[in-house]
Parts: sequence; structure tokens; C-alpha cells
Amino acid sequence: MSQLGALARKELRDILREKTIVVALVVQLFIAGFSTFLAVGLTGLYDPSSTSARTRADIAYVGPGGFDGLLKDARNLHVQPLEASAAVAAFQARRVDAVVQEEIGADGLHTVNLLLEDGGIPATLLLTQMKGLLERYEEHLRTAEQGRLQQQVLTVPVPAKADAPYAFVYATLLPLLVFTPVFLSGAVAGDTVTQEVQTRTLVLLRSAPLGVPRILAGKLLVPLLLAPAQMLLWIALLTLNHLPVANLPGLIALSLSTTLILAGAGVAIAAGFGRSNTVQAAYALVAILLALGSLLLPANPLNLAALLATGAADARVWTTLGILAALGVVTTAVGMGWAARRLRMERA
Amino acid sequence: MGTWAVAWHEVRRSTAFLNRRTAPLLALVFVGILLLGPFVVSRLDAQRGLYPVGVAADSPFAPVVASDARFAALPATQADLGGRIALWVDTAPHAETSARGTAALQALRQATQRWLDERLSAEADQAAAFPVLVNILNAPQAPVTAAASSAIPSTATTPASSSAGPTATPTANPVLDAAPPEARTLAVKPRDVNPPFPVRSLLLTFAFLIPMNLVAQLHAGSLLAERTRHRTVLLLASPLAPWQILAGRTLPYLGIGLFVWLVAGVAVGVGWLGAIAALLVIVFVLATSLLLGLLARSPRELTFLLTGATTMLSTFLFLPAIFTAIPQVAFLSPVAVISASIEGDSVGWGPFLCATLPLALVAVSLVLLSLGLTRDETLHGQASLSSRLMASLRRLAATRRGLLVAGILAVPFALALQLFLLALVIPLTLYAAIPAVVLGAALVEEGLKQAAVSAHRTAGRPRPAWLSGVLVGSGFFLGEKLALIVGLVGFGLLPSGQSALAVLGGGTGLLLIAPLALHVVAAMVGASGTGRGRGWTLTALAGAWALHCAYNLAILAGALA
Amino acid sequence: MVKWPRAVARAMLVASGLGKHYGPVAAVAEVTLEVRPGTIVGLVGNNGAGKSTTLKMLCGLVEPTTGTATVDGQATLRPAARKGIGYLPEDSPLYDEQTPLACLAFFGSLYGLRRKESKARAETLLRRLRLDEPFWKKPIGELSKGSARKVAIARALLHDPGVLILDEPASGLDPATRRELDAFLLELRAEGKAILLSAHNLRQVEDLCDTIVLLHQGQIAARGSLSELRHAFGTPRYRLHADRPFPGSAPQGPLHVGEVASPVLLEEALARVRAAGGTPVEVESLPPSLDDILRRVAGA
Repeated sequence: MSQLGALARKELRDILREKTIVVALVVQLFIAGFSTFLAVGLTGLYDPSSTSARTRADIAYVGPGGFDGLLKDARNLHVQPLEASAAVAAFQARRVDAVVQEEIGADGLHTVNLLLEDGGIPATLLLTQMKGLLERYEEHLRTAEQGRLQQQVLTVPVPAKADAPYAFVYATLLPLLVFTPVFLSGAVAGDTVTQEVQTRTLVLLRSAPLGVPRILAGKLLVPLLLAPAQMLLWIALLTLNHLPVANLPGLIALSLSTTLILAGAGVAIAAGFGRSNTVQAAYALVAILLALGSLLLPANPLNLAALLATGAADARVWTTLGILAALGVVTTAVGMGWAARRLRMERA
Repeated sequence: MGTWAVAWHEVRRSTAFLNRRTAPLLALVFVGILLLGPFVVSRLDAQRGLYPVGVAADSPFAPVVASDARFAALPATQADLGGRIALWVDTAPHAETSARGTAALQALRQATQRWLDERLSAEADQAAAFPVLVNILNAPQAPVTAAASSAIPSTATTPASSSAGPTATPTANPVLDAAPPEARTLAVKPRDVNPPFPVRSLLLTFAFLIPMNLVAQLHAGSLLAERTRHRTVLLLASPLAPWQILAGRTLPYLGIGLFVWLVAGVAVGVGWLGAIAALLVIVFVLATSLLLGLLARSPRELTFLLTGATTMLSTFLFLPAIFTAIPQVAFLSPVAVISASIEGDSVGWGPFLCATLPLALVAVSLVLLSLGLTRDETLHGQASLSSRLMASLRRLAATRRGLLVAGILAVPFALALQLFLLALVIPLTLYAAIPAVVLGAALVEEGLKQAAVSAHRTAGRPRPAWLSGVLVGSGFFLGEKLALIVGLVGFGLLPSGQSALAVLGGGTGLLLIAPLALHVVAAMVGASGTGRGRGWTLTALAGAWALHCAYNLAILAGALA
Repeated sequence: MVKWPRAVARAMLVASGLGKHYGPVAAVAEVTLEVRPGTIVGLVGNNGAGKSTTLKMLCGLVEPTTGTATVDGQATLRPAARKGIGYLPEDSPLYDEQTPLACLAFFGSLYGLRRKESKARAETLLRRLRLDEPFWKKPIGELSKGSARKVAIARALLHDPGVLILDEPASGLDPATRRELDAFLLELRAEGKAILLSAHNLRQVEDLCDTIVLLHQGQIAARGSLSELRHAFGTPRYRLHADRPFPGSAPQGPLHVGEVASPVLLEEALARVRAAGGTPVEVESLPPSLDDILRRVAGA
């Protein structure tokens, strides 16, 4: 056991000495930071539905009245009723930002003409806000005309603005932060074997009184621990940003099992292709294949991470986690066994 | 001639691993990926069951909840709200007061709208089912500057520019006639007002980038394997110039990239601006793998560096492009150009330059650094990454012109680092983030300038510190002004290209002189400490930084006052 | 091939004031030398004396901090000038998976040879180097070290360069092959090549070189023909044959033989032999070997 520890320590020292683990951390920091920045920061600033950031706009309203009520409710919009030609002239002279013309047909169909500048940020923002208002106006008119319809009109009130885009954080960002270290760890497990094969230092290790499987186990230990450790780091960061993450043990189990699968595959590939420069590419291909294959599971891994983190895990989740753990153990065992056989042959 | 020989050799070498044993294996993997591809898109759903919902037995919302996979209907009562379930639905929805509740309610709103739309399409009375139709009309307005001067409203006398184009057929409605026919989008349901999110084009672009990442790994791996056994020595001793060696080593991979580009481009039908942007992405990926393949010292290091670079690149390419509704964000990335081009939308020159120019400049820098590395000492040594990068930079910045160019090329790096910095501090509160950015941005700029000067002054025949400062400072100023113009035009903050010159020529002279003076003087301060040991270098950097911060703060104070 | 009379021949390879500094440390300083057609110059020195760096600067692989290196008047840093140089690195970094013929064809194309010409030269060279034909189409990785070295030498000569820069050409060769190589190098010299080689094996340098350059700590400590060096640096050694044992002696036939390194020590030894009642039979004066000279220079 102490020999195993000595090997693992050597691996860890190598990784730390090369300092490139820093790159791996920076990558994830970048993903985490950049995406939060875009999602929370920039979109928050420009999101038309967030009241604080709405840009003031002057609107000319042409028509018999109706939609202008909703327009006037929006605090950032300044609405003035105008005649059609006057409204167009005001628009062209840039005294209003948009013209909203409402026409009501004989069958009660409301046609809204939206005259906006082509492209440009203010126009885009205005259009996005208009879309929301028009949807609400449509709901309002439908409910009023319920009598003409067979289908019951269902409406859901517009919710207040959330602090952070919930689905984005838990269903996109968090899975990314869970699985990026996993992918890297699998690659690193393979690379340590490649390095030994290419520089022919495995012979030195083998001359020590250790079996090949032991050597491989020592090499696997470090990447296996790195992946959950990095994940925990990101979760700590999220928690600091008031984005709580549920079910840590489940997430650790997920990280460990998937790392086992990819590390097992990485070691086997490295032992098989160790001499050529194609290990990385082969690993990437296999990893993609495994990722695609994982979609066959009852819950795909991304979904799994999202459900665990939001505390919405159900039987489907636990079954899948069990399958992944079993697959991880089997893959690592098979991968290591195969690699051990190949490496023994290397000596000849 | 020599380049082609190296390229052909590279092809032979990199296909050597394809033997009877490996070829079927790889073919299997490829076929597997191709077969599974379409299936993936249907199953790649991370949000399945994200919102646990309790539904009352008689709730009209039951079919809505069942229609959307994001909801997991649990057997629950209203008492479970805020715990096991995020949403309780009877005749109306009730959400827990939390981020999850808000998100669930938002999702239910979307699901209800979609579900209703389907039902209502079958209704006999379509005017009641869809009582609002929208005509979106786009028309030009008077330039911003003109609006400022015509502050006095003159409603009666503004017919000057009301001619809406010769092809417009009058419809007796001045609002409709204000937009030329090709700028009208007619009879749209409110839900369809926004251009739909371009899932298809983004997925296609992503699918195009995956093989490029593999090509990058092969490319960098081949370069590294060649170096680990000092084989490049013989190429370096041959009459080939460094660029020929690198070109030969890269051509086969560029060939694969171009093949993918051509096939994908024709199959998908991408416009020519999009095609150029895609080409740039290919070139950028290969420039990255080129530099990293020459830089890494071991396979593991290469993995870290390359995955690092490709993830950052993918993040940079895709995350902004998702925000199609906000062009300032989307057009940070060339993928937005590709995606718009696939969708058949026109892309202006401004956003195009904005999305491509910084990346192109970084690609050029990467290639220049790679060229600087192509020497026996730097390729085969085990010196640290940073010291070898510095050795390479030294070759780039050895001459006066080189130093000026280094100053210009530092700008996209500075922008990227500042964006990165902004990304890191934005989770802090705004009050902490603003000073952090003001201070950090100055440090990034002065640090880069000093690195270039320090490379120059430890190279062959250095110029005096003051001249180095002037050169790199002027270069940086030029680059920054270029970036500013591209940014302003690209982000639509300048209404038309005509005003681009106004940024340079217009305004008071002070607006132009002050930043130039700042960059030059700060760079001179920074330069004064180079080549005199670490202590002096850091002291000078601190001085330059302080100067730059003081300037930034003065500007900020002026802007706030 | 033109045979230049030695006196008129212009130097093909010229180094003037070559120096390589790593920060404040000078790996090589102020190396000035020239190699004329039809001569062999040997670069000799201990490990770390700067031999390999000097050779790499001369063939344009390493950019010198000071000074210049030219081949036929052209700076070797210019890629085009390297056509005139055949460089043999210390280790033979060839592609294991290539066959000798494929390897030579590849480098032939790099040096702008036409395919036919390249193939003909490759075959001639391999034959002259006595690499058996069955090995020509085997992967280099499967060849013995000596055979692989022959391929590397053929590669350096493939484009018929006027200047040869050979870093430890005999490394990894057995004595028989080494003798073959020496003979081959002398042939090349007779053909008018300007050859610069570095060597650990000093016997090879003694046998081959017209001029020997001694490098010590990056600087030229001495140069000249072997006899000139002996004259300048050699303290002769003396071999004493006596009929009685004396300190440092070993029996050789009926006589005891010992070596001493200075006249003073010789006197002492003679005195001891006489004191023990013996008779000095013969005193030989030996010329100093290059090894001795090198040791003296390094010790100094």
C-alpha cells in the first residue's frame, strides 16, 4: 500500500511540477466566469425584461386604443397618440423611436404595425420588449373572446424576474463544470502511461518490486481524485454566489464513476497506441463515443448532474448512477487488465 | 518545394498508425459517431424533469405539464410546495418563492403558450384564436447628429425624406408605406416576433468544430512527438526556412480542415461572409495547435494546454453566439456570423469585423510566436514554458518595426485578458467589480507592453528604454484605436462608416493626444526598469501601472462629474 | 570535384568571433576558425567545453550572440547557405519507421535534389559506406546502431555539400566500423571536402586531422597540427627500463619498466635504481599524446 502511495505521490508531484494543472483550473474558471458573466452580467444589463436596465423609448401610437394601455403601463415607454402621417414624420426625424399602429378588423382581428429602425441595439431591445407586451395583449383578447372558442384559454402570469437564469446555471453551467474535469482526468490517466511508454521509463518502474497492475493503479489514483476535487471547488464558488447545490455525495459519486470509465478507457488506449502520436485523438474519439452512448441511459449524464444539483433526483437518477458506477468499475478493471498485458509485452 | 516534401512526409508519418489492427477500430468509432449523431440531438436534454410539479386531479394544466419534459409531475399536495415541489397547479399555478419557483413558472408559461397554440390552430374561429397579428416594418431614421440639431419639433415641415423607395406600392397607410416592401415582415403571431433561436445553425457549427479539435490534437501531437526525440534538428539544419518547416507540418491538417470546410459549407449552404468566418476559425484552431505543439514538453502537458485552449475557444465561440437577440454579445464571436449566414440573414461589415478581426490578429500573433520558437534551442530544450515564450517574443520584438508590431498585436490579447478579468470579477458586486476592472485593466496593458519591451531589450541590439517605450506605446495606441473603431461600428454605436473617421479626426485634439501620451509615457516608465533585474522591472511596472490607474481614474471622475 | 592546392584554397567554412551567451554565462566565446577544402579540422574538448554548441552555430542551428559563421562567403543563418553544409548530429535523430532509402529520398527532396539523382546518390553512398543492400528497405528502427549511423552519415553527404560538420561521427560504432569510417573520411578529404569534426575519441583525431582546435570552457585554448601542439604543450614523458624493481614499475619480460612525467622525476628514479644496486638499461623519451595535452590545458 505504501508503494502505491509513493507512486501516487510521484504522479502528483509531476503534475504539480509541470504547473499545467493550473491551465486546467484556469480553463474551468474561464468557463465558469465567462458564462456567468454573459448570463448574469451582460444579459442582465441588456435584458429588456429587467426593469432596471430598460432603455427609455418614445412611442407614437396610432389607432383606436387598446394596446396603448399596456404600452403606457411599461414604465420606460413614453407613449403619445398621433395621426399616422405625423407619426411617420416624427419617426423619420427621430423624434420617436417607434410607431405602433393598431387596426381592428371586422372579425375582431387586431393588426399591429410596428415601425422600427432597421437593426441597431435600441430597436432590437424595443422589439424584444414589444414581443412580451404583444403576447400579453393576445392573452387578454383571447380570454375576452373565450365565448368564440372551444378550447379553454389557459394563462400563466408573467413571473417576476429571477436573480440568475436558473435553467442555465443548473442545466448547462453545472454539468459543464462537473464533466470538464472528468474528461481531463481521463486524458491525464492515459498521458501518464503514454509518457512512460514513449520515454521507456516504465522499465525502471517495473524493475521495482511492483506488479504492473499496481503501477497502473498508482497512476490512476491521482486523476481519479483530481476530478471530484475540482468539481467541489466550482461548487464552492457557486455556493459563494448564492447558487446552492444540493446532493453533494451524489455529485461526487457521479464524478467518480464517470472518471473511472474515462480513465479506464484512457489507460487502455494509451497502452494500445502508446508509441504513436494518436493517443490523444483516439482518446477524444472514444470519449465522444462514450458521451454519445451515455445518452442511451435512462437519464443522460448532463441531466443527471442537473437533477442531483437541484435536489430533484428520483428513482431514475439513482438507477442511472448505479449503472454508471458499475460501468466505471468494470471499464477500469478491463482497461487496466488489458493495459497490464500490453505493457508486459513491451518488455520483449 | 521543400514545404511540399515536409507536408507529404507528414502525411505518410501520421497515417502510419493506420494498420490492419487500428483502422477497423477507428472506422467503427467514426461510424458509431455518425450513426449516433442524429439520435444525440433528440436526447441531449439536460433539463428533463428539472421542475418537480404537483398537479391537482382536476387541473386544466395537467395536459400542459405532461406535454413538457422539463416538468416531473409528482404525487403531492399543495403542502409540499417549497419543499418537494417547485410548483403546485390546480385551476391556476402557484410557485414557491425561490429562483426555482420563478424559473418553473416561466417554464410553465412557455409550455402553456406552446400547448395552447397547437390546440388553437384547430379552432374554427381563427380571428378569436389568434386575435393579434403583427407587421414588423423596418425603415431608416435621420442620423443621430441631425436629430440633435433639430431639437425644435417642426411637425409640419418634415416631408424631406419621406420617399420610402421607388418600388413601394402605396397602400393608403403611411405607417405601412414608410418601410420598403423588402423590409416588411407581415402577419406574424406575437410569439414569432423574435427571430427564432438558431439551434440548427449553432449545432451545425458545433458539429463542424468537433472534427477540427481532433485535427488540432493530431497536429500538435505530431509536432510534439517529433520534438521529443530531437528529430527536428535535421529539418532545421536543412536549407528550409522555419516558415517552410511549419507550413509543411501544418498543410496536411489545413487540408483536412479545408475539406471539412468545403463539404460542410456546400452541404449547409453558408454565405460567403460566414464561409470566411469559418475559415478563420479553422486557421485559428491550427495556429493554436501549432504553438502548443511547439511549446509543450510532454504529452500530459500538451493535453492540459490543448484541452485548455480548445475549451476556452469553444466557450468563447459559442457562449456569446447563443445570445442572438443581443448583437453586442453575439458578435463577439465569429460563430454568430456563421450562424447568421446559415440562417440566411445578412451580416453587416461592422459586426463581421468585430467578430473576426480580434481573432485574426491573435491567430497572426500565435503564428509569429511559433516561428520564433522554431529553433534548435527552444524546440528541444526543457526550459520552462514562459522562458521559451519569452525567447520567441524576443525574436519578434528584436527590431524597431517588430516592437511597434508587438505593441499593436498586444491589443487583442489585452482585450481578451480584460474580458477574462471582467468575467472573473463580475460575480462580485458591482461596487467591487468596477475598481477591480479599472485597476486590473491598467495592469494588463502595462504588463503586456513591458513584456514586449523587456523582450526587445534583452534581444540582439536593443534601443534605449525611452525609444522602446515610444515604439511599443505608439503601437498599442494604434491597435487600441483600431479596436475602438471596429467596436463602435460593429456594435452599431456609430450609425454608419462615415463617422469612423470622426473618432480619429474629430473631437478635440486632446481626445487623441491624451491616450497616446499616456500609452507612450507609461510604456517609457515601464521600459526604464527592463534589463536591470527583477526588482527594477517590477518597480518600473508598478510605476507605469500607477500612472495608468491615475489616468483612468481622472477620466472616470471626468465622466462622472 | 576540384582539388585545390592547399596553399591557394580559400577557406570554405569560416567562424569569426563566434560566441553564445545564456544570460551572463558564456557557453562559447570568441571562437575563430576556418576550414579549407581538402582538410580535416578536429574540435576537441571535454564534456561541456562547447563543442556541440560551436558546431550548431556553424551550421546555422543556433543563432550566435556574437560573431558570424559563413560557408563559401554566405552566412549560415540564411537557409539557402545551408545547402553547402552536411551536418551530422551527435545522435542520429532519424525516423525509426522509415527505411534508409525512403529517409534519404525525403531529405533529397528537402535539399532540392531531383528524385533520380537523389536515388542514385543514396545508393552510391550506402554502397561506399558498406551498408548491405538487404538493409536498405528495412525500417531504420530495426537496424543496428552502427548501420543506423551509416544511414545518418549518408544523409549528411546526400546533397554533396562542400563542407561537412560532423558531431562525434564515430559515436556508437565498433572499432572495425570506426576504421572504415576513418578511411572514408580520408577519401572525402582527398575529394576536396572541408571537414570539421568533433570527437571524444582522441586517437581518431590524432590520426585524421590536419589541424586540431582545443576548446576549454567555451574558448579556444590551443590550435595547430598535432606536432605543433606537442611542441607547444607537450612535456615529454620518459620510459625507464631497469633490471631491478623501482617505484611505479611493472615487470615486462626480464626487465622492469616504468614511466615518469618530468626530467626531475626521471633523475630520482634513476637514483633509486642505482641505490638499489640495479642498472638502468634504457631511457625512452615519449611524445605527449593529445590526451596529455588536453589534460594539461584543462588542468591549467
